[in-house]
Amino acid sequence: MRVRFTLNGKETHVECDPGDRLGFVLREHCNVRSLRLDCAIGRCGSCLVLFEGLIVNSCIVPMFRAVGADIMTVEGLYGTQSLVDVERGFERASFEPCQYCACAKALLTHAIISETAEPRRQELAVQAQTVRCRCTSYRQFVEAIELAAEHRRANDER
Amino acid sequence: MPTARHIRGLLRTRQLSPADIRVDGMSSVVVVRSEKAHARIIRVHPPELPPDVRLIDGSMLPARATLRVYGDTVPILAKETVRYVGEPIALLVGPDREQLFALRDQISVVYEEYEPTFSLDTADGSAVVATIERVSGNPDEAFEHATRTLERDCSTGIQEHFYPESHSAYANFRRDGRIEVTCTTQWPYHVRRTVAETAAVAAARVKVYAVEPGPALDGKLWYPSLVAAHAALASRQSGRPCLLRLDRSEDLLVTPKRATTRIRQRAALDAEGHAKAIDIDIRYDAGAYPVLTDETLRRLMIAAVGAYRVAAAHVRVSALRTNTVPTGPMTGIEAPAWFAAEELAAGLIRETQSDPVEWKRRHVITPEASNHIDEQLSGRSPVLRLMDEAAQASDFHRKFSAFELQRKNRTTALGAVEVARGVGMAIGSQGMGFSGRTEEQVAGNVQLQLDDEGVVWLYTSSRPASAGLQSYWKQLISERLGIEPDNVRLASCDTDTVPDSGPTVFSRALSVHTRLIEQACNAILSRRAVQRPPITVRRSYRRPKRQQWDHETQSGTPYPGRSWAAAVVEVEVDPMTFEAIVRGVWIAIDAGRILDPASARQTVLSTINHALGWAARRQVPAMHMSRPVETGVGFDPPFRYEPPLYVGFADDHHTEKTPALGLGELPWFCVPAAYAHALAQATGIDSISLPAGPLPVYEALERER
Repeated sequence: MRVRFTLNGKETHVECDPGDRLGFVLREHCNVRSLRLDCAIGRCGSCLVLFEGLIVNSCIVPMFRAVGADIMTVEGLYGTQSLVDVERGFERASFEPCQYCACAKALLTHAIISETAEPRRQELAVQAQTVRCRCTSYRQFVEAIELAAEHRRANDER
Repeated sequence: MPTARHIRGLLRTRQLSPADIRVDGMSSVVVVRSEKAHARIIRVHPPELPPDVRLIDGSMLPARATLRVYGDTVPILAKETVRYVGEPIALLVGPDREQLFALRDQISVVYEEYEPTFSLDTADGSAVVATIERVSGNPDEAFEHATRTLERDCSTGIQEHFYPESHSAYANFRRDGRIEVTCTTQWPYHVRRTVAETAAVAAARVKVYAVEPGPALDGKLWYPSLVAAHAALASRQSGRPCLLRLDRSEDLLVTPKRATTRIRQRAALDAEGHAKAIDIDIRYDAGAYPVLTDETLRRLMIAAVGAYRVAAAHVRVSALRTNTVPTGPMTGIEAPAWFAAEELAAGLIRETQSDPVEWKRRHVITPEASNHIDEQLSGRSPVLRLMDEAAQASDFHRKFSAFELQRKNRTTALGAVEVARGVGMAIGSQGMGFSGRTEEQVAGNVQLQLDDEGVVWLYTSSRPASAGLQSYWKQLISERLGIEPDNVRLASCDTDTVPDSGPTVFSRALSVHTRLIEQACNAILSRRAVQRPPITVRRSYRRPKRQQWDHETQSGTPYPGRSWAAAVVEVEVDPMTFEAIVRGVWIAIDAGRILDPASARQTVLSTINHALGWAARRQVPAMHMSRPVETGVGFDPPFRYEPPLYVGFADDHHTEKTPALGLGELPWFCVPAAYAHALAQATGIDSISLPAGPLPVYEALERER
């Protein structure tokens, strides 16, 4: 099966089986190294991508669903102010995730603050658990998202 | 504190995971595993194998090939007897992984089955593989003259490490007879030794490249050596580079867990209810193959009476062999003993109808009054101050009185209408490095080199879980030697390059390796005045003179340093679901000089989550490991959303010369017990076992009704 989709703003096509999982295809065929695929059952959240603007675990998305889809990974944020906002939020919260989940947490933060300028703490507490890595506490992640949102708002007002 | 530059680097790091390795001609490896928990293998019937697929069994192993961890052994492949479901029997090696899985399903193994033992409750005396005992004072006499005795019985549960990346290893047996291995490990030189024995080559011919582990919680301590040995054996037999990657479900099924424990305690009481002697019996399920037994036994023995002094004590700790997966070391290994000691203290507090904080203040060990191993605390004890700080931050005294009143005045049975609340306080301490004199037998080496371009290279096989610690090492070297931070580099962690620093466990990266780095910096400073670069300095661990330990009597000062903590936990029990929701955690810590408060806080908060998860949730649904476990169940801490978490560091009385002590395990030793105390107050349950989730709470209430 030949699948065409947009990856980080670029038209992409790959040869794969319809049932192949998006995360594996992105990693193997498209060299997207930010994705971690260690649980492979949609639990750990280390393989998050933005799929048509929605946060999904790419390890469980079959490739037939990816036909024509707009997909973004953290690589798509390199060099953008959006990623700087996220980095500043992490820095100000002294939030230092491990290398296995850092990219997923950065992408999730970007997705949340893009959707809601002033996210509510209780909603964040739930959303933060999308990435289940034990390297940091959810509370610190929530603080980091809030500070990233603050930075984004300040930039938007300029 | 992480800088923006550091975070940018983190988001762009493309470190290679062993599972990512793709090499031309590479074969995959699939492990054929036992379906029986205890049996003799009569024969293995493989299907007809394609020409490019090989089956490797235990008969192809060199005679000496075994995995050794300080006197304990684990078979690389079972030869005759299997002792747990999932034990490796053979390896399938071939180019197509999916094909190997299909072939594995067609392999039939004929067994002669034996009766398996799955729990401490059904294990008999013959299951005991090792015991340690310590008697202080005269407990027999105290029990003989006791007015009455208090008896308690509690247990703690199993726990999955749930590290971010499942186990994998790549091995390439080259034509020149050298073997290259890539894996994620906390102990690269152990991988090297195990691979060398498995492949029957000299250790110097094995090069292990250690990929930095994520938060492994000691799950990457010794098991990577087994996975690497399988990959190396497959590579030697097939003549191809081989990759062995465990899927998450397989990883959950067959890798080590935190051991379950059963603890029985007796206290000899006088007429006022004061304990004159205690007798503690701790038994832990070491699984099919006990690993790190001596260290585990000693740590549990040391922690058995907690932070309290008693006139006479008899402590017995036993490791039992069962037919569960090897349940070896896991961060916070002595947590069950700390928890049980606090549970016994809770019983004694009820006997004397004392205020818990006042009772603890009266009985806590001090430099003047030691514990059951005659440990000499140096300087003043920080415990009283930590208790005050935790109590003040949490408003403990007011809450305790209010919740006590609520419980006593409760008009309906718990579960009918009312929300029940409770608050508890517990004390814990973390010992640095291996206990007793073991640290001297463990390799502890680091090397520092100032090259002729002014760059300092740090060579160590230590892989701390905290990225903050590696940053601190660089900062330390930069400041001590007056060198730009960019000119301090960490050498690639492969065994051809870095010296053996021993396993990264028990906060050794901080308590042992950091001090060796400081010593190496001082040595370079001295030599730089008289010698031109390059200057190379290597430093090895030596036991501090003040740490005296008598191995025969198991007494003295077991660790070169101890950090301390007092924790308060508040819970609310939902009247409908019986779920105990944590409303707040407050922890006050004295861990010497705090190098990086932000990083230390992050470490503590993260550990609080793990510890509460263990205390409140069933951590592995399939207890007997007889079927694949459902992943992800019960790994979260018992929060609806994160409650207030207070972390205070009592380090204002420390100076620049005060050593930094480990704190990554501290919450394990006080937070679960504080949670149990809070739950006991909320529900009125007298004796709590962990995990204390809704069902155990309901069952305990039913029993006590």
